[in-house]
Amino acid sequence: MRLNDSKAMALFAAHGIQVGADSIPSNSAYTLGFIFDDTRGAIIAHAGLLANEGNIRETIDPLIGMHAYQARALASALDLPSTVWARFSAFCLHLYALYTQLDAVILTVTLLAITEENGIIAYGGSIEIDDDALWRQPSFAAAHTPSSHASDLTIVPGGLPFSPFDGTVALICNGAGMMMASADCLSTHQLKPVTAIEIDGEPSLTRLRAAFNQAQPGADAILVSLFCERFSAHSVVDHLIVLAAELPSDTILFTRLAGIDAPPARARLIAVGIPCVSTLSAAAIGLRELVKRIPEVEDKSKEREKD
Amino acid sequence: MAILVNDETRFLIQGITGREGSHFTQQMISYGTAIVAGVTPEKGGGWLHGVPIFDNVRTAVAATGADTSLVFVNPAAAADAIYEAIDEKMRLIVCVTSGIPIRDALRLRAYLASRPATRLIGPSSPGLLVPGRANAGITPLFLGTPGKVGIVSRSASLAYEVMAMMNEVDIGQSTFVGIGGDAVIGTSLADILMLFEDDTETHVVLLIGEIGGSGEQDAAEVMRDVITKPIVAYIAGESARPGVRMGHAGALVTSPGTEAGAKIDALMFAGARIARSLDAIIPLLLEAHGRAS
Repeated sequence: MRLNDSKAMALFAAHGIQVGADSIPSNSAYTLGFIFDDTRGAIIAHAGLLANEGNIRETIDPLIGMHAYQARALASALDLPSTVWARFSAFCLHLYALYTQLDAVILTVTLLAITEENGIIAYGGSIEIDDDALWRQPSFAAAHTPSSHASDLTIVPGGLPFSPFDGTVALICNGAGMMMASADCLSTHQLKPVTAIEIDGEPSLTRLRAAFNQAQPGADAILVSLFCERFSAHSVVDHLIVLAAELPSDTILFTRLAGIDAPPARARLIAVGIPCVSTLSAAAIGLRELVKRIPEVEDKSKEREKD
Repeated sequence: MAILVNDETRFLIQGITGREGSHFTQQMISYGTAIVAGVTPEKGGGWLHGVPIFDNVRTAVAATGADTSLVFVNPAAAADAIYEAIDEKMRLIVCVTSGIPIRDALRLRAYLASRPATRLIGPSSPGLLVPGRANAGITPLFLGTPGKVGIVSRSASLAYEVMAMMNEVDIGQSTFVGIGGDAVIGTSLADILMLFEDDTETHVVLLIGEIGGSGEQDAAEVMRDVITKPIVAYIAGESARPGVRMGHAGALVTSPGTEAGAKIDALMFAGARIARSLDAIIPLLLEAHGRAS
């Protein structure tokens, strides 16, 4: 969950950080913050001159938290006068406490000014809170609405999690890995997903209908790619037959079912005119052929690619 | 012998009375897995699926000699359950629970660093499967046949799919380990590669990675320095857009090196045979399996 500039600044102010509202002082301006670095699996404190892309970094021990010496090291590397080190250090520790208190993965003061009187004022900021920690951040959980921030796995209220793309095929999969592999396979065969919807758990009629509804109207085709593990492929077939009848006539439905009872289930789908295959490659190739046969869909795909 | 578990391993289930814990305990028992105890605070003294329930790990270990914990506790209490298992000196902890906050996972990992006798798999792990001997987690029962391919995967769904494909061509597995798709996990791809290297039952390793983090690059480094066994690798997420999370908490292209291409390059340069699609895995495994045999 991402908090934009004004919300972040309001939070800073509520937690005792001096926030500037008027003109930004012309003297030195900095950035300062904390970020969870997924490549190192660590929390990093970073600081820099606003005009300079280079950042100074300190790795923080998650068990102990930020040390004052680390804050002083940032101050020293920023060439701040030693008269401001103590105040800057206190500011850093205060900010780190806020970072942990909020279960943030990113907390950045995007514009920090140090006044001639050694005051430290934040003029901009952003905060991203760990979605998995919203259960202990009730004030944010209540306000959590679909986010436009790209790094969120977007969740529609009452709907299913999905990852947005910019193509024409809606993917409905069970499992994150399967979602990625299916999107990759489509791309290899010159098809692009418009969205990849993840069905976690049993694909009941209700969940599948929700996924189909989310897939439209942006999709020209829907590819359902499921590995039937803890549920019967036959029950999925029953649901797909119902949902196929509800689809607009110009939306292509293609399916791929694998798993222990998938072969007879595939045969049932094929018997009622819904293409169904066992492998991802066969699904992508088959879907590509179907799209080619329908000139309107092909034209729309090309137009989107041009855009 | 397989890796991580053996015929002497005695499992306890933390969160045995919850919906998931109860369901999968029954499944694991039906597979023949040695589940000797369950732990749910305030429910000690009862029994479930023929398994005695204890109030805490300490009394469960004292009574049953359990040495490996499977954690099915809800995300809000999972970290606490793992600390309890660490403090009771469990040899192996497999955390199936997903959705543990990053801060909690970071602190757990730091805590574990000073307790090398305990290994954590996960969070968000589907567990381990030693076909024909032990199913410690949530892997569907119909998957897996005994064999010589070790599988390590960040994705459960892809591992299941590949195991089903392997069964069709009669290639079995020595051990499957799902390390979990979170950004902070206890045991890495590289750690598991090292274990497979020392395992006499494993002749070929299949590594299933995905975008996000640097686990695949770390695995490539270990491959170059230590691993002698043939490795087939598949990386999911080549089509992912930067900044868009792809289902797993850790599947996110955040910076150069976290995208699929960089991981594929690193593994390829380290000598892995790269499958560019899921369907390409089986031919590569057949080839590597044939050579290794």
